[in-house]
Amino acid sequence: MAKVCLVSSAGGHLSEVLSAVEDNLGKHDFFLCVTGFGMVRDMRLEGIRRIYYMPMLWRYQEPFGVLVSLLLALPKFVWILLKERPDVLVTAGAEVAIPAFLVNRLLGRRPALFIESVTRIHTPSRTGRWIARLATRVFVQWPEVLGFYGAKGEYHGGLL
Amino acid sequence: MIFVTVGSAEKGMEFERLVREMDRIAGVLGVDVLIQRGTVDYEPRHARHVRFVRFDQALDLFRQADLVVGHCGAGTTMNAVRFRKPLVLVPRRAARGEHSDDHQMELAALFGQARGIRIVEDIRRLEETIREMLARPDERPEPTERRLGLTQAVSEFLDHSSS
Repeated sequence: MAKVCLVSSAGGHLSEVLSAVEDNLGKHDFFLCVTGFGMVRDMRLEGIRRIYYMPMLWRYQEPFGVLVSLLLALPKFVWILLKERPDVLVTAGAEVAIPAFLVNRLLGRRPALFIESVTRIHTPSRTGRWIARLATRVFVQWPEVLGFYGAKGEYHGGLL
Repeated sequence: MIFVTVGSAEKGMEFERLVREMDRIAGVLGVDVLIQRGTVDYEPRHARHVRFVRFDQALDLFRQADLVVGHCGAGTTMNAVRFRKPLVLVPRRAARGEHSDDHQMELAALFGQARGIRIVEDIRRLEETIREMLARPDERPEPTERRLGLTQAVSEFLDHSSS
C-alpha cells in the first residue's frame, strides 16, 4: 500500500484528479492538500483519510495574490510532507501543486505525477509549463499536446 | 431528479440563460429540478435552487441525479461520466458574456462524441433533448478505452510506488 498525497485546487481540477485515482481509493492510503474557500471546507470525501487546507488569499485572481499564496504554501507543504511522509504525489493542477512539487524535490524526491487537464488539447496549461521540470512523470490527455513536454510527456489516454 | 449546474465561474460571467430556461422547463415538464445557480441573480420559480453547494455535497447530487444538465466544464462532465449519469451540455458563449473565450465549444465537440452525452448549442432545443434523454434512461456514459488507458497507467504508477 502506498501513501498518496493528492494536491489540488477546488472545482474542476479536484473532480479531475479524484476521477483519475478513483479505482485506487480503497487500495492505497490517500490524503489531500486543497485550496479553496467555502466550496470545500469541512468536506468529507470517500477514500480520502485526511484533508489539509492550503492558504489562499482573497484576491486570488490577481498575480500578486497568487504569488503570495504560493509562497505561504511552501512552509505548510514542508510541514505536511515531513509529517505524512507520502510515497508518491499526484496532481491535476492548479498552481498550488507547484510549491508542493518543489518542496517534495527539496526533501528527497518521491515520485511525483502531474496529469495535464483534459481541457488542454493543443497547448499546455500555465501550471504545466512550470511544474514539468519538478515532476517525475507527466501524463497528457490528448496526443496533440505531448510535444510540449519532451521526453517526460506520456500519452496513455484521457478521462473524457 | 434533474441536477443543473453552472459550475463555479466568477461574477460577471453568469450563465443566466441556462438557469432561466431550465426553470421554464421545470414548470413545463413537472419533474423535480434542482439548480445550482452560482452567481446568477435570477431566482427560479418552478425549480428548487441553491447558489453554491460544498464540493462533496455536489458529488452526492451527481450520484442522486437521473439526468445532469450543465455548462460544458471539465468538472461537470468529469463527475457525470464518473457516476455514469446521462448528461446534457450547453456551452457558454463568449459573445453573450458567459466566458472569456469559446473554448467550451471546442470541448463540446470532443465530449459530445461519447455515449450518454448530448450537446445543445441552440438553447431552444434543450427541452426536446431533455425529453428524449428522460425517455431513454439506459443511455449512460460508459468507461471508454481512452479512459481506461489513463486510469490504468495511474494505477500502475501508484502500485509501483508502494513501500
